[in-house]
Amino acid sequence: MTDISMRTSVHSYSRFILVLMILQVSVGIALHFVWVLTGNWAWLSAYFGYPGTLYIVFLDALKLWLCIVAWKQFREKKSLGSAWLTISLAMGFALAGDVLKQWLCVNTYINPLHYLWPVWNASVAHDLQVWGSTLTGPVFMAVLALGLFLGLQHYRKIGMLGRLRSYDFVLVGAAGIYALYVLSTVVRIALNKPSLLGIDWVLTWPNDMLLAVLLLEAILLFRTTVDMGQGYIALAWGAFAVAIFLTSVESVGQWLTAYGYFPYPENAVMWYFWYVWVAAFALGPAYQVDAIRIAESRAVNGRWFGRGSSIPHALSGRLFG
Amino acid sequence: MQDSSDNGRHRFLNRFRIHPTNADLVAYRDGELPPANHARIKEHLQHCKRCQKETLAIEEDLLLFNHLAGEVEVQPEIEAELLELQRAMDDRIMEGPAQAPSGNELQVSPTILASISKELAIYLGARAAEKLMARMRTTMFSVEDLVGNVGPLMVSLLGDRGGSAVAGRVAMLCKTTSTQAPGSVTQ
Repeated sequence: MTDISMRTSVHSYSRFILVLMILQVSVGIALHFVWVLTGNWAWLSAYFGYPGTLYIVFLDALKLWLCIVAWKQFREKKSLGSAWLTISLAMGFALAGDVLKQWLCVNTYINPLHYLWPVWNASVAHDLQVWGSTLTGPVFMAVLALGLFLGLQHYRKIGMLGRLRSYDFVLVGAAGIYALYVLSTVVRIALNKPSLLGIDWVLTWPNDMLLAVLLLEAILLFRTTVDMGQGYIALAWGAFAVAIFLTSVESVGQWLTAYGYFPYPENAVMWYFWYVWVAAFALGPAYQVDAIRIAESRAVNGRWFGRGSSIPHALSGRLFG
Repeated sequence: MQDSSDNGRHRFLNRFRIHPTNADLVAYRDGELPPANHARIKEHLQHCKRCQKETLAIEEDLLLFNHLAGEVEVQPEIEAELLELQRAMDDRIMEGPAQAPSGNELQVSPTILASISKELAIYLGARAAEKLMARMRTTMFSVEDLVGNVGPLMVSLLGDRGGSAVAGRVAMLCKTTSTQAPGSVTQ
């Protein structure tokens, strides 16, 4: 068994992200009850418009920074370096996309466009939202799929890749069938009613295909994590797996809502789901960076390693120090 | 059964860049290994620069021995270098063998292995660390070899500084545990 006291001896980015996520969701649920009881939507609206936006953009920036920190540790060619570089790129697209989609296209007081435009330009805001969705959707997912593939490839090389169980294929098969169903719907509409095709819709077409690929990777990552036990490196990849599962659940939830199978108030749970999977994506690089810091800290404490940590302590050190 | 175990070990050697011992290399050079082991080391030597260098060093040593035994004639200018090399080798022999004797088990005590497994579990996970240690037990390596092979693996997963720190910590654990329990290291 891993010694827990060893694992928690260093200020932890992963713990910080978990605490932040719990706070964010708890506040949301509390305000949700206020809305249900009083009928006053203003508080909940402000929650989604301000802390909600700041939370997502902040976590996007944090996960990009953590990925870059993780990537910069690698110099060896035969390592996880290329995987972390590609994942950093994916996180860069996620940040850019969420800045457009969550921040700049919403008319709030924290949006600089609110002050720059004399009148709110809904058309440009819609375009920003479309490009943001493209960056956080197919672009992010494609680059992330490549990064996770490189990571899985390295685990295979060192003999630590988990094995798929028979029922895993059922899940992957279901995701594949769903992706094919979406593709057939798209083709049917493209052939019969081309006037319905908008750029915003076309740009999100590959989402379900990519999600099916990511789900396959997530299952492999999950199996690898379970087979390895719960070390920090394993948890880093496990967090990506959890994030992808949650993304898939959210996607299915949206589909069910769109077809009327998941009506309000049951579907309100999806409003807060977003915050959980954004945090899960940030936990991946956080566990990796925590692992490096713990390794360095233990070497320093053991008087073997003469220098301080190469990982900046600025953020979590201030918050937990 | 033995053959499948050998295959497993060979895959492990290649995968984790674990290298044959000097005794294996000498036996390979002299053609004393069973055909299957001979073929495996031959394949390993094709892509492992470290073992290629080690083989060359062994060849140099053997050349020196042969010269001293009067089997090979060398030019006078090389003779001085060979004598110097001989002196260095004598010193090394006085210090004792550089490698643990070849055997079927890892030449490290269970206490050290348990400490290393616990350390690696923090990063890899308990099951992965135990699996790794179990594989290591079936190979024929000393503490130095163990540290030398844990290092590259951890560097590939954590990066240079993190991986080196883990390797350093493992080396320190080996040292501390063997100091605390004299005679626990079998080499």
